[in-house]
Amino acid sequence: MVTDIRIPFLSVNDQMALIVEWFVDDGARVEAGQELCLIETSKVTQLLTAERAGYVRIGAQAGEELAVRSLIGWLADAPEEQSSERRDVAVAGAGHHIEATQKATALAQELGIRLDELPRIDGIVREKDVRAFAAQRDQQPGEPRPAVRVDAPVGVSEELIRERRPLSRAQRLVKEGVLRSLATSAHAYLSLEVCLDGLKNLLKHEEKNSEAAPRLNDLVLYFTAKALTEFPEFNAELSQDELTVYKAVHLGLAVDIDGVLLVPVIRDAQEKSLAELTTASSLLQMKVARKTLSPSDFDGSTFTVTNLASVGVDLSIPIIYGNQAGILAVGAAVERPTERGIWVEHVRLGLSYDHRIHNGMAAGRFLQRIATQLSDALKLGAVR
Amino acid sequence: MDERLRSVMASALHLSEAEATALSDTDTIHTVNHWDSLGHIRLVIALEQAYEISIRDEQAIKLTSVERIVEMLQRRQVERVS
Repeated sequence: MVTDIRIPFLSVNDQMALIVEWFVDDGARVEAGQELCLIETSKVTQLLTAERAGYVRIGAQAGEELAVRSLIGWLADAPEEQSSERRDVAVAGAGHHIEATQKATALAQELGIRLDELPRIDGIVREKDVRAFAAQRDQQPGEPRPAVRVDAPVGVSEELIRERRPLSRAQRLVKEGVLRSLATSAHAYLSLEVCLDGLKNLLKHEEKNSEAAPRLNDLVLYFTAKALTEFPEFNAELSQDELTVYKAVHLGLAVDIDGVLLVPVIRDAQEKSLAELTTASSLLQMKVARKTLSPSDFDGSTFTVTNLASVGVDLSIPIIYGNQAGILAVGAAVERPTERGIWVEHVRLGLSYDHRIHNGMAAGRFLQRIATQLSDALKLGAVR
Repeated sequence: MDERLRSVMASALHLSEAEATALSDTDTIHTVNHWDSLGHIRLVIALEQAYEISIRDEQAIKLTSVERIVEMLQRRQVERVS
């Protein structure tokens, strides 16, 4: 019997994972639960363990970056047993580990397609993938691909340099993610300011219903989730020419851990009361601080919120996360005089949105809806 | 509140001497300067270190007033003695 070892699905936004290290040799006997290898995505490092006892066969080496669900090895009852998928798979591509069926390889050669040009959604290139790619190529013969220009480093005196160091794997994956987002999304920006008169009263009132103390950011998360149910096309991802609109609102919170951008997720935020959402966001913050986030904490965000208030930033213009329709930035509360001459805190909400999906008016209405709900709650002194 | 807790809170929340002196049992996350989300995390970690206890995340997020912190510390003390 053969049991495949595949790269697990960690997040809807992470299509690739890097094999950092194998802890066992090819052909070694392992016990159930024994550590096999370490994989890394842009957000998380995950240890893979043996599902059962057997002989481990390594199909992809440390340092290789592969699509999620790719076959990277298998467990067998005898060392010479092969994965059924492996028997039909050829490895091709110069310098890249690309798995393709023999039929796909033959067809690609016939059509003059390099296997590394194809998208590798499930990790194995099949005949239908080659045909689909060829059809798309033939329909759009001259269409340029999005390109990112990277300037060559400018020569500077060594005396001026404190240190040179390569980016960590996680930083490299984040870098590639943001460049991909900038290259493929049509970023546009809006912002508006909300007067926070009555905020303290509102938070005190809502604290009575909560185990954790709600804060301004929790209010914004709450009203964002509500607005996303009213404007579902912002709770969406655009991939090529298809918009995927999600039913559930899984709010991603952009956070920094040791200089690496991470986006843990509050799932089903649209169903949560303010108290429940406050508990969920507070727990995530504790996990971030203690570095105890697990892979499931990163599962499938559909919209992202970022907040740099802790360092006094009152407006940021964030890069959209993955293929999402937008990202909301919450600024630091800043005191300003009102028309009555009283100093009152204000907060600026910023929205980066993908102009391929939405025009400015639609984005403005979405942002205004969040702001209006927040203002109404402040006037009322309670969240309805 | 005892002086030990006052000292832990003052250090974790970066309070001035006057702010630390003014701390009382009725203070909450909404009445103390710098007791924001990051301050709260610093406070929980400082309590764990100072009192040599482990605070579960689910409990940590509820420690939003001096009163709740004192209650938690007293309960832990009783558990330790018994």
